[in-house]
Amino acid sequence: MYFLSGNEAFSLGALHAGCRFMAGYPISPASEILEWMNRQLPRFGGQCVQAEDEIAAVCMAIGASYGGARSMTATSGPGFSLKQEAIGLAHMAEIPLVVCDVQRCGPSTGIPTRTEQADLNIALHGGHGDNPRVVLAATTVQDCYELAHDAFDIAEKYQAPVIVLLDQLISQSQQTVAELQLRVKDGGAGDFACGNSSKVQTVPSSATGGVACAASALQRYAITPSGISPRSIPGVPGGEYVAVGIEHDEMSDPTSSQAMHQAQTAKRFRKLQGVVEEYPRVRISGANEASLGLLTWGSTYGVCAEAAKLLSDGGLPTSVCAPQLLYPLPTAQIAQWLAKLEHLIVVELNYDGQFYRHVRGYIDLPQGALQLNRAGGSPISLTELLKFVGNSIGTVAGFNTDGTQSVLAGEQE
Amino acid sequence: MAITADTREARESFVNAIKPIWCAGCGDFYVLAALSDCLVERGLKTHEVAVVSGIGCSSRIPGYMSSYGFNSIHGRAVPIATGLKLARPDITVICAAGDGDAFSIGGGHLIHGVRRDVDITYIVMDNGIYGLTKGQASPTTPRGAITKTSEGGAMDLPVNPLELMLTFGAGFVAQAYAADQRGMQRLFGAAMAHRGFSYVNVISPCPTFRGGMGIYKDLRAMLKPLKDDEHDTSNFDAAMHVARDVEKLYTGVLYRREPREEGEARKVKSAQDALALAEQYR
Repeated sequence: MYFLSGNEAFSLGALHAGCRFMAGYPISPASEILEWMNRQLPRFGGQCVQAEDEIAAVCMAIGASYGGARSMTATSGPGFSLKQEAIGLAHMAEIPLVVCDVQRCGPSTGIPTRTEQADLNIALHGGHGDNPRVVLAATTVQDCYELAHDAFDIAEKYQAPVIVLLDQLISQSQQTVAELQLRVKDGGAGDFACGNSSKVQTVPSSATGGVACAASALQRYAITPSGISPRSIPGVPGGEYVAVGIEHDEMSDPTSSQAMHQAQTAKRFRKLQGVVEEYPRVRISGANEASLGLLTWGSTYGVCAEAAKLLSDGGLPTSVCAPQLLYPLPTAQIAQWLAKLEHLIVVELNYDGQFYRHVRGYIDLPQGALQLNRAGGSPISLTELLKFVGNSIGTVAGFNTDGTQSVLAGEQE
Repeated sequence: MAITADTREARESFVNAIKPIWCAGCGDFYVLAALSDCLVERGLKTHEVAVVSGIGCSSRIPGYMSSYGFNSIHGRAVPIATGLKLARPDITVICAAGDGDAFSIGGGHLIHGVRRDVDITYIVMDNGIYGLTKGQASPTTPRGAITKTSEGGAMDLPVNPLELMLTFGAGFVAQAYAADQRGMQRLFGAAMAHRGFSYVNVISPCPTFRGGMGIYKDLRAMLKPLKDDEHDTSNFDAAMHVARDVEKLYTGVLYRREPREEGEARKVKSAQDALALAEQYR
C-alpha cells in the first residue's frame, strides 16, 4: 500500500521510465514535479534545470532529447500556452518529448490553486499547422505513475511529443494506491546517464520497417510504412543530420514541394496508428451489464467510479469508461463499451464540454446522450452527480427521482 | 572575394554540398568557411560537433554543414543548445544566430545563457537588419537608418551587443569582422577553447538590405584590430571602454575571465536505488 500525490507518482514514474533531463519553470500546481526532479535527477546521472521561462524550459528539454536523453518539462495552463510553438518543433523535427500539463482553472491566470479540466482543447489543438499530439490523461494517482512510463516509451519509439494531462485534484492530493507495479526502464537509448555516450544507440531498423540507419548518409526523415524513421544522436559517426522545424525531404533538406509536404505530413500522422494499436489505454469499471454509462476523463473518473458503485448497488447498473489515451482516441474500445448502454452521460469539469465534442468527432454517441459539465473551481461532487442522474434518467427502482435518497443515506452535502 | 560552390567543395568535411540561400556578398559565407576551418583545425570530427541555430538567414548555417545540427525556431537556439550540452557534455556545441534572433525575439535567453555559463560558443552574425524577411529594422539597426519598417529613419536606440554581454557577466566576449576570415577563425578557436559560455559578435554585412556592396568599404575604414600589447583582455573596464566606442569596428578578444572550477563528478545511483525511492510513500 502506498500513499502519495499525483505529482509524486508522476515524478517517480518519470525517473523509473528513464527520464534523465528535466527543465521547468515554477508554476502552481506543477512546481512539486520540478522540485522532486531537481532533488533526484542529479543523483541518477541526470540534470534538472530551473529555466528562465516556460519557453526556455521546453526548448532545453528538446535540446537534451536531441542529444539522446529522455527529457521532459512540466507546467500548468499559462506555461502550457507558451510552450505550444516548441511542441510543434518537436513534432516537426521528430524529437521525443514529454510535456506534463497539470491543469488548473483558466483561462489566463484563472484560479491557480483550484482544479479544472479545460486544457483538453489546447493539448489536442494548441499548435499551428497539421500538428497531431499524443495526449494522455491520468484518472488516478496510480495512473500518474503508469502513464509516465507510457509517455516516455511512446515519445521515444514514435519520436514525437507526448502530452500528459494531470489536474490539480490528483496532482496535489494524496491517494492510497494498493498496487504500484514498480519497474525501472533498462536498455534502449534512453537508459544512459547524461554524458555517457557509450550507451548511445540508433533506432534499430526493425522499428522503421527495414530502413537502415547510420549509413553513410542518414535518411533521418525517411518515409516509412510506420511513420518511424531512422534516428541517430550526436556522437554517432555516420549518423550526422540536421534536425529541422522547416518542412524537409527525407535527407532533412528544406523543401517547398507540395508533394513532399503531403508525404511528410502523412508520414508523421501514420505514427498515430501505431500508438493507438500499442497503447489503447481505457479504464473501465463498474457493472458488467450496465444500463447507465458514465463517460469521463481525468480525475473526474474518481467521482464517477464511486457513483457507479452506489447506483449499481441501488439498482441502476452503472459502468464508467475513462480513456487514458485521449489522442489518438481508442475508438474501438469506447464504441464496444457504448454498445450495450441504455443511457449515457458524459461527465467532465469544464464549461464547454471539450471532451464531449472531442469524442463526438470520432464516435457517433447514442441519441439522448447527456452532458454533465461545468466550470471548475471545485471538483464535481458525488451529490451533484447523483442528483443529475436522478433528475435526468428519472425513477429507477431503488432510489428516488432526485437521485439522493436511497443511495445517499447517511451522506452529508 | 566571393566564395563559390567549387571552392567550398574543396574544403574539409564540415561544409556539405548544399548551395546556401545567401545572397552574393553575404558575410555569412565567410562565417561558414571560418567555422568549418576552425573545427578542422581543432581536430574535431563531424559526429563530435552540433551546431544549433534559430531562424533567419544566418540560422541556415547548420544546413550547410556536415556535422550534427539543429535548425530550430526563432529565438530559441540558446536554450536548445543549453539542453543539448547539459545532456551531452562530450559534444562540442556551437550556437549560431542573427541579431534579430539573438537580441529581439530571443533576447530574454541571453542573460540566463550567460548566468548558467554552460560550455557553448555563441556566434551571432550581426548585420543590423532582418534579411530573411527582406529588410525590416532589427535591434542593432542604427538610429536614423532607413529600412522597410523605418521609412523616416529608425527611432529606437540600438542594442550594443558587446556592452550587453559584458554587463551580463559573460566570461568570454569577442568581436570579429566577417571579411577578415582568418582573424575570425582564430577568434572562434579562442572562444571554443574557453570553458564556459563564450560569445563572438560577428559583423556580417548584408549588402542586399543594408548599405549595398559599399558597406564592406565603409566597415574596412572603421576596422581596428585589438593588439595584445595595447589591450588587456582581463581588464573589464578596458573591455567596456572598447565596447562603448561604436565609432570604430574593434576586432579581437575584448574580455576573458578565468572559467569557474568544475565540480566533482557525483557517483551515479543504481536502478535499485531508484526503486527504493518508492519506500518513502509506503
